[in-house]
Amino acid sequence: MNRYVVKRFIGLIVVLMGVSILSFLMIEISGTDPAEAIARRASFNVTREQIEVVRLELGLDRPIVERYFRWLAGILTGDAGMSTYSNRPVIEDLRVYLPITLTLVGLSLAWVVLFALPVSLACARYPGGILDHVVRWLTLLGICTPTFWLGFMLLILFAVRTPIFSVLPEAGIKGYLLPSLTLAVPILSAGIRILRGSLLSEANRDYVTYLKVRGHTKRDILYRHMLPNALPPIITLFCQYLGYLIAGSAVVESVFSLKGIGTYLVGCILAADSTAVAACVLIVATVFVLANLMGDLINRMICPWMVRETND
Amino acid sequence: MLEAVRVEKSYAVRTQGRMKAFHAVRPTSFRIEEGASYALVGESGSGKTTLSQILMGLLPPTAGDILLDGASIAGKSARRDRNVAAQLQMVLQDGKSALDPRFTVYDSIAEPIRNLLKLPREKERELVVSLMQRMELSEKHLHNRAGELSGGQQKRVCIARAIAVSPRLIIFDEAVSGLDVIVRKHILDLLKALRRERPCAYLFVTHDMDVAMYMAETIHVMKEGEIVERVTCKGNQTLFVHPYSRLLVSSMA
Repeated sequence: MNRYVVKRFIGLIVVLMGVSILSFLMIEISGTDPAEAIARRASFNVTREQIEVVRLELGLDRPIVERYFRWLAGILTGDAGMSTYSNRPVIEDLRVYLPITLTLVGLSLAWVVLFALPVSLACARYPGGILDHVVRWLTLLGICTPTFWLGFMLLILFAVRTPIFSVLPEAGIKGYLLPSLTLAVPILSAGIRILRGSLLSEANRDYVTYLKVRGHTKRDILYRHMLPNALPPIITLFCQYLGYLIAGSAVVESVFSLKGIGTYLVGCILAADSTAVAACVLIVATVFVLANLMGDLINRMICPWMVRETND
Repeated sequence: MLEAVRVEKSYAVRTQGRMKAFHAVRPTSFRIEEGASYALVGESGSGKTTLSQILMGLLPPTAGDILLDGASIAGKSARRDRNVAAQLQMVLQDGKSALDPRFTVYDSIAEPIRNLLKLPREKERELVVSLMQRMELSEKHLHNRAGELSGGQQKRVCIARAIAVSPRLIIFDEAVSGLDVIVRKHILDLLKALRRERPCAYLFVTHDMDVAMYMAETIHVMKEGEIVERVTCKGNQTLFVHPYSRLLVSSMA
């Protein structure tokens, strides 16, 4: 296990290096000249000489490899450059926006855990029953429904017609309830279907038949034997979605007027702020890679037999 | 010991828009005597697995009853008391699938001992180790999981688990299918030896007449949900007279 963790961490560093190179190259190929952008931030009417002075001062005339390592060192020491979109250091922007997105994503995942397990277990216990049919249709709808439409519908229903929530962002956890639910619905729907399918495929395995012969109760077989064996796919999905949620929160954030990293990233893209975009991409990619690693490690901890089979 | 009394199983199926009854098992009666060896032979879809599942209480029969020492146990697997569960055991076709992937070899064999015999830990370990030795499984596999064992080893663990509680009947549902001929012969010989050591009735549910002839004293031939012939042949294949039985005998390697 320890060897595996070390191996995965080395792999993680390699992947993150690759991501950082791509992020840096994004600044280079974006078509925006950082020297010009910075010079024009001070005054719109700048001469070519003034731009060249800025380029020399910031070392932007140095070879690309040197500039990459300087950029990387800056990122590692907490200096991701200045944002031309907000006129503030990128790291300060991230300090403001990232916690909002993380709260939103954290709550969305809480919805998923809260509902996916009991609903899937109920469906798998009575497959083909009324509940199973209803859940199947609802989850299909949940997967197909666009989040912006669902967000608007929830706002109309619970903030306009029945004013339980406010249309404008509210302080505290209440302000996150509708956005997190909107963000959670597609994952929750997919999660329920995957866990239900995984549980039912376990139900067809011979060890379940044996346990029935042995006189174990349905409940015992479902909770103590089938559920732990059915968990790996849902854990993998859960951890993969963590990255997707952070990257894809922009739509929900804009529907609910939340100032998270998603809306910030979209703003930076529209303002051609490649420095901030590169930092955001690096952060999202890091979370994505770390979440995947976390999923693999959890699976290895709760399902050690899968690991040995893979090694064989 | 175990008796099937006019057991039948039918399902409602839709054919050409109309519901019709499909008879998986037509009214069938037979007895399994203490310590004897039987086989239920037939092609896929003949109803032999359905019948074996009814015998084990996994499926409720549409009509008829299953009696263990005169008491009804039909369709009662989940509510079966420990005493009955210990008397009837089953070895299933896919060894890997029949073992909980989370369980080590030790856990798999110890599970029925722990739950049905309730032995102290020390005695439980002794019994598990002795069963492994009897099934010619090395002690080094004690902490392996099903996925780390070969098909033959998985099957031996399943048999060790089945005999752990000294049952009176073991049903082998296609239990040696999918194994190569040498491993299969070895396991069948091991089962024969086991039966000499500890009296236990065997019921082999198989499509393979070869296995049935080698292991069973009495063979029931099933076709389309019906037992078409019962022969106490003890290896003599000339005693079969039904054309379907003759066909199965002629298809032997």
